[in-house]
Amino acid sequence: MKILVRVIILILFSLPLIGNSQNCDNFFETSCILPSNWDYEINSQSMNIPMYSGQSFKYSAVFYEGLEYSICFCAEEGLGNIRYRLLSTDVYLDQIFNSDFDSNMAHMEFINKNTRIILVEVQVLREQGKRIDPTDKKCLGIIIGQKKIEDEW
Amino acid sequence: MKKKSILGLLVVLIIFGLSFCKSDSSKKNAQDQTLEELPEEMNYEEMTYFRFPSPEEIFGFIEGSNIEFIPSIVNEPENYKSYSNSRIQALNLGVYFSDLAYITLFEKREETFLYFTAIHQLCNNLTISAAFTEALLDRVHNNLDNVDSLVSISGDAYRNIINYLVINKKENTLTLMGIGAYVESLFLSISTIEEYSNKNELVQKIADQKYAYENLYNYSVQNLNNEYDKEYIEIIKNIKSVYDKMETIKIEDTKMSKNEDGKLILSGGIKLVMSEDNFNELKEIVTKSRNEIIK
Repeated sequence: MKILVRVIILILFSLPLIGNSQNCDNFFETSCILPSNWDYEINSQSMNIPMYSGQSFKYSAVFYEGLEYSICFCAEEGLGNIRYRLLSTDVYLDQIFNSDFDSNMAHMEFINKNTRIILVEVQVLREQGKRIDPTDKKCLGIIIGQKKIEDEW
Repeated sequence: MKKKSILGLLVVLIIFGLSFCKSDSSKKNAQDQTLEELPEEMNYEEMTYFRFPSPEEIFGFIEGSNIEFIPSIVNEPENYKSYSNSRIQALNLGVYFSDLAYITLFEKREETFLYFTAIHQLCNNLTISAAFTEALLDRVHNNLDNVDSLVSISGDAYRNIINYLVINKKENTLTLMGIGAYVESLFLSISTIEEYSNKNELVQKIADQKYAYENLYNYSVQNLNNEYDKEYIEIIKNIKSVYDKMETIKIEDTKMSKNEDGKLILSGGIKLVMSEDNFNELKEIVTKSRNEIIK
């Protein structure tokens, strides 16, 4: 009987956790390990997004002149690999960086010489043959880091 | 007694189980749909998330470009007591965050606590006190001698509130807070310039805020859906329309290249040119909007 009571209590306590499994609140803040020697301040434009494999979206953020930025992607286990590209929005949408050419790196860093909006196109890759399941959401963190440029360019 | 406890637990379990089964059945139905058949809110294929810097980041960018401290231009911290409408409270929560970023930039420690208190009180009034707790206010109190800590706490507080509002599906409040913060930060920056000069670095940095306004405008359109909020979108739209009149000069094609240390450098793009007419028109619209918000 004691075992039955323990099982019931265990189930009751685990229900809220099951219910929140697609809740990405504070995902990157609590679950992402940033690259070693990452000495950036986290920018307020960072965010967490619930995603499913095969989904894509766009993310538009403002980058100020004279700062060094780091863009990190942190996917919850099982979500899939991330492909992304940066687009300039000056007149037309022009590609300025494509993760495909950099072995799917999970983060990239750059020095920004002019204030601008950068549009980031993100796609979560799904395994070939695997069906898209929009109900099977997992978390993706986009972490923007910024710091002042150490040396004048 | 034992039997009663077990019975009680079983009843609770059945209630939980029923609600759980309900969400499970909706899950099953959604699984049977193809992506094309999904309701609009579930199809994120074309979703664009717009983001914009915080007041602390705006003033961090402006810092060093001869911005002055003028004590009389910030909104008085005790004015929060007169804001009874929740929309006005949300707007002025943003206003106070910008005031806080402005005064911490000039290391005005005594005033800092008053602004943190005003923010704390407005959070209470907006029933989002969990986003700005007494503990955070205590942290401010214990760090009044350390400006770097105050800047850091201010940033943490802003991010906490954003997270809290997003988690609790209060994007409407978050948008109004963003509008208040942006109008105030622009008002503070522009009010410190007595006379326009195209050589003034601060004028250029004010011009560069065009991009943040673009994203704030798009974010506002996504999140302020009811009739009562339309007038606040108009505020941003009017400011954006002045920005849109600015001349743009192409520096060179935007390109990513590597320097000798192997670092990526993003260069080129467009230089925004703010004329004296643009500046004066912007100053007039921003001052009018800001005075409406804080009255």
